[in-house]
Amino acid sequence: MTAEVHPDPDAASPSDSSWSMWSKSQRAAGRRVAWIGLAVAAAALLAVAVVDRGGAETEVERVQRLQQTFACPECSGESVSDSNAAVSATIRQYINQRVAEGATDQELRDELVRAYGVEVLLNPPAEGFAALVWVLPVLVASFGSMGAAIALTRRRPAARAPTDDDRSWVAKARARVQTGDSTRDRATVADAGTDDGELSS
Amino acid sequence: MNSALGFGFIALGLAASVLGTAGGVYALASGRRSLLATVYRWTWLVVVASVGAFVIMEIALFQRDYSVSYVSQVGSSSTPPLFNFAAAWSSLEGSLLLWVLILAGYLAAVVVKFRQRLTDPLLGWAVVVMLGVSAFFFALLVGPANPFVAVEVPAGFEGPGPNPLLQNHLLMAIHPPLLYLGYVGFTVPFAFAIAALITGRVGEGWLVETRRWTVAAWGFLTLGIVFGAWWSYEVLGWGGYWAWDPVENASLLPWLTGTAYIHSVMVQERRGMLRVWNLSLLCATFSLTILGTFLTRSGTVESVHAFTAGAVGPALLGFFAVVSGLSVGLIGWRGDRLRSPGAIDAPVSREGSFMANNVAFGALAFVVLLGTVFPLLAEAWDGTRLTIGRPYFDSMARPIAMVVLFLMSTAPVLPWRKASTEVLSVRLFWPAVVAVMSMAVSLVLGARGLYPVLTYGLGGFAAGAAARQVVLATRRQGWRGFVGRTNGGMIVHLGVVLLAVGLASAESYRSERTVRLEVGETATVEGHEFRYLEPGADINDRRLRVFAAIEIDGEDVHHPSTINFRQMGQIVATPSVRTGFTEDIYLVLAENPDPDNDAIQLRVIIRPMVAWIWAGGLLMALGTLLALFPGQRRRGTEPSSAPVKVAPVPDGPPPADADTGPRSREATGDPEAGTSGDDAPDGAANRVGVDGRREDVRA
Amino acid sequence: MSVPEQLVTDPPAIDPIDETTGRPRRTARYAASVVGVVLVALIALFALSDPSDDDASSPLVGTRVPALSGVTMDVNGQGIDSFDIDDWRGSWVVVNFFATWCPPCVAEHDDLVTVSEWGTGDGPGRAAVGAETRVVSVVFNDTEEQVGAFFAQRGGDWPVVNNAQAAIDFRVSQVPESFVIAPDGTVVSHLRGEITADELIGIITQASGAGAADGTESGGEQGSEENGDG
Repeated sequence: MTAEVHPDPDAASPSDSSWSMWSKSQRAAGRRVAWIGLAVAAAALLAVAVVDRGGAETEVERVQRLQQTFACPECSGESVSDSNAAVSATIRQYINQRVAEGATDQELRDELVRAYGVEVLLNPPAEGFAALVWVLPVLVASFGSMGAAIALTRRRPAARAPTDDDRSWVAKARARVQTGDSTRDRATVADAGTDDGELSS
Repeated sequence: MNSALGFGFIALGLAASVLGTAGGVYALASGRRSLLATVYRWTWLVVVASVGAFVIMEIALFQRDYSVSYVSQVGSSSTPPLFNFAAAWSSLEGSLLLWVLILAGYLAAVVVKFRQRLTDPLLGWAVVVMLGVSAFFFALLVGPANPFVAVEVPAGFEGPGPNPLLQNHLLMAIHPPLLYLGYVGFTVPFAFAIAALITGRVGEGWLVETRRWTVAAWGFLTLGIVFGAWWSYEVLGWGGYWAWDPVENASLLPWLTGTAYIHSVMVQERRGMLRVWNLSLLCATFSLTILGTFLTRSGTVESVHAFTAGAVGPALLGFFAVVSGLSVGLIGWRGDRLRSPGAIDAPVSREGSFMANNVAFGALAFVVLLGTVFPLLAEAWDGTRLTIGRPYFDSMARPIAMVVLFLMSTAPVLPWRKASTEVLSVRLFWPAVVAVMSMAVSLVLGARGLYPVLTYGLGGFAAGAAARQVVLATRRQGWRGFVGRTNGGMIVHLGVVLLAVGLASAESYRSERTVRLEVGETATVEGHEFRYLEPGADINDRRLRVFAAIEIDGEDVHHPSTINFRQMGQIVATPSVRTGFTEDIYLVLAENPDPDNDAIQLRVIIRPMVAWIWAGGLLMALGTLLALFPGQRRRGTEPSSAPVKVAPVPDGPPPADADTGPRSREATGDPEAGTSGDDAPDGAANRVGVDGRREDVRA
Repeated sequence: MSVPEQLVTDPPAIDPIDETTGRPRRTARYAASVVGVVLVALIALFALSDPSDDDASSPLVGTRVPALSGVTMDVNGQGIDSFDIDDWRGSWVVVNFFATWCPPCVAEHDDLVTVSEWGTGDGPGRAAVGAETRVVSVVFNDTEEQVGAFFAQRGGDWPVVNNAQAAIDFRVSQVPESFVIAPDGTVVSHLRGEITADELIGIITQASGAGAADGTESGGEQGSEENGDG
């Protein structure tokens, strides 16, 4: 049934004329090669983008990155980098100094958490209860994808037989078409099959 | 006087809403359709009441009538007219007044639009739901958030004026009304969705009726959000536009579910599927607008935007419970019976990509909601105070955004029902070329890093697919190739690409420095020279503004400043931004001129392509507008919701034409010709298409 | 356009049967139940959380003073020496965070000098509160030269510590900020913005006279109201 109502588009001949100097199979082969080329180019470009980062992180970059990961304790969720609050200036200054002294990210993190509590971290820690905030979205996205996949691969119920109403409807539509533009008939031979939703609603 | 009159109007509005709701429920439940007519009379009273109340408020603001409590809180004798006008929605009570005004506007529009079908129970229930919503908001205004309380003020009282942050930029005057037009606009499709659930008419009829309303509400919300971000960028002086602040998240949540809806609804229109899912999305969208209002108006979640107001918070929470409970209850009760039969033919199809879209937007909405409420959750769990900030949201949202961009590239070229590799390889070829080219160009221009370069690539891909559709449509339909839902939708997609590219650039390649400058000194940041010309100040009776004149690259002079508003004692750093096509230079006066030597601390932030974000937002709004224009001629009722018996109309073309034409062409595998068309190319092909389809049924 | 009456349909009276399994379809019901449970939890969470738990006063007041140690700056004749606030247990201590580039810091300096003279040596403060009152300044984002010149010009002979960690530990947002520490090491008051000698002496006198507990409270109150515009 499915095969009948969904003819392989490769079998239907596209009607554009610009490619006509090549055969259909030649065109398809050419396109395949071009696609492979595009895929390789995309992969190569992405690889360059990821690998060629221009050397190690400079101290200024590191300070900027760190400043963006700590929250201004008196604001709501703003980073100390974004915030104009005075306390943020204090923490920015502290980060500057500690980075200059050679403190590691972890040391800096621990020191600030000791002073201001966990809420100074804009990125919640992935431990204890807070780990849920990282795990739940992944779970939900997986369940959502699974649900969609099930819905998409669910076996379709068999099409019902056409009724007399359908036939008369088709006949009428046909009659009108006789007077219409016939050059496009070719394009319509096989629209896909039963539309359960429409027919049985 | 004003307070008595204003209160009279909101009391009238409450009475009319309550009576209209009750009368409508009685008329509909008892089956007396003739009684329904009275419901519409109540709606007009609601309109009169809300317009009256709003006008009285504006009059009181302009008369500086401080005997009205709201005016005494936000009015001031020195506020300029525009901001005085906008002060009407600068604080909680007034913004609720704006809410009911807009709701009444939508109510009136619904009643006028459907005036010939007023006895239809579907419409009746929809209007009843809207009246119920307006009853709630009027009740808030009469009770805990009454703006018209009569107060006595001492002689010579000048009024504080609105929050200074809200009175120094034009965008603040238009951002809230746009946002509310969007928020409140979702009441209309929600009301129809509830009506469809109650009447059991969950076919496509109600949904087609409300399609434009939904799209319009979505467009307003989009513009409201973008203008909000723009305002934040131009006014708040932190160099950013989106902080994942709870209030921003609250406005984004209904936008996300609304976006999911306006895509998946097409599956229902075309294929009659996903009925209950679409109803759920609409209910979720409306519930989230209420939840967002609760979060932002109750002070439950800490936010820079938060208003605090005693009893309004619990009331909004209660209303959220009612709305979401009603939705979930109705769907649970009737959902399984109302589900459409039928299934999707193949995963790689338009339907399949819309479902993937729904998963992506659903996941994003979940992340945003979770991140917003998680601090509360953690505190309730074990007392930990957590912050969920930018890095969390960024790291969650980025991969989803990549998926969305990818879907934007493939979905528009995918045919309905089923696609073949051949079709895809032909239709996606040029978009893929654009994708690779844009990645190459970005690399040559110096872009590095996975996400930005991937964004440029996928952005090019999506833009190519959207442009392909528009080009094919205009070639076939002339200027109509720009209007209609599909073509307008592609313009929206182009806007999204601009926005995504702007965001990726501005986020990834930002540089910043704070420099100390004395008068005449020059600092160089990222190849730009900043010369401190002179400090300055201007004082009027409202504020003291201190600024520094900074010359950039010897060309133009900018004045980053701090403004001290006298009445509020609040100091606001107002940035000065040099906006450009490729980069923005953002100057903040981090420290006022030193009294001794006039030295300043100047914060210089350079971010590339910020303007693309605003351009993208505006293009999205334009695309929405184009999508609202009818594309190809359409009929009021969609055939797909009609039972088979009704479908054959003896005279005139078969009603299915507008919808079936492009599908038939696409499914034949004529790859070059196929577009995503929901707007049919022309009549002849349509009719043939219908014919062909029916023949297959018989075969 | 009016809708034909026959479009008004009631849903089927029985649950639809899933063609593949032969059982009634209950997906919507199950999904709605799950969402309903989540909603109830969410609403309960919102209803029970208290929106007004923001504290305006400093969390440090009433707690033990954070560690403050380090090397003193070679200014105002103090020379380089090690400093630890715990060595000053038994005295009232005023910890002052300041910078030379901050106007209110400049303005309050004379008052600090007054307090120092009042509280140390044979100043009247010693008799009044039964213990010495000593001042220590912590430099905030400044250089030794600037600080040296500042003290040379404006007086003051107490130790000056340069310790970036201290500003974090004391949760300083914006200089100047001052803390009053009781002889037992409890933070009595956190003052934001410019202070005056009378204010400081008042706090110390009151806290010492009224006993530690009461003093803590009143000092805290005063501290939290003091939001100078620095």
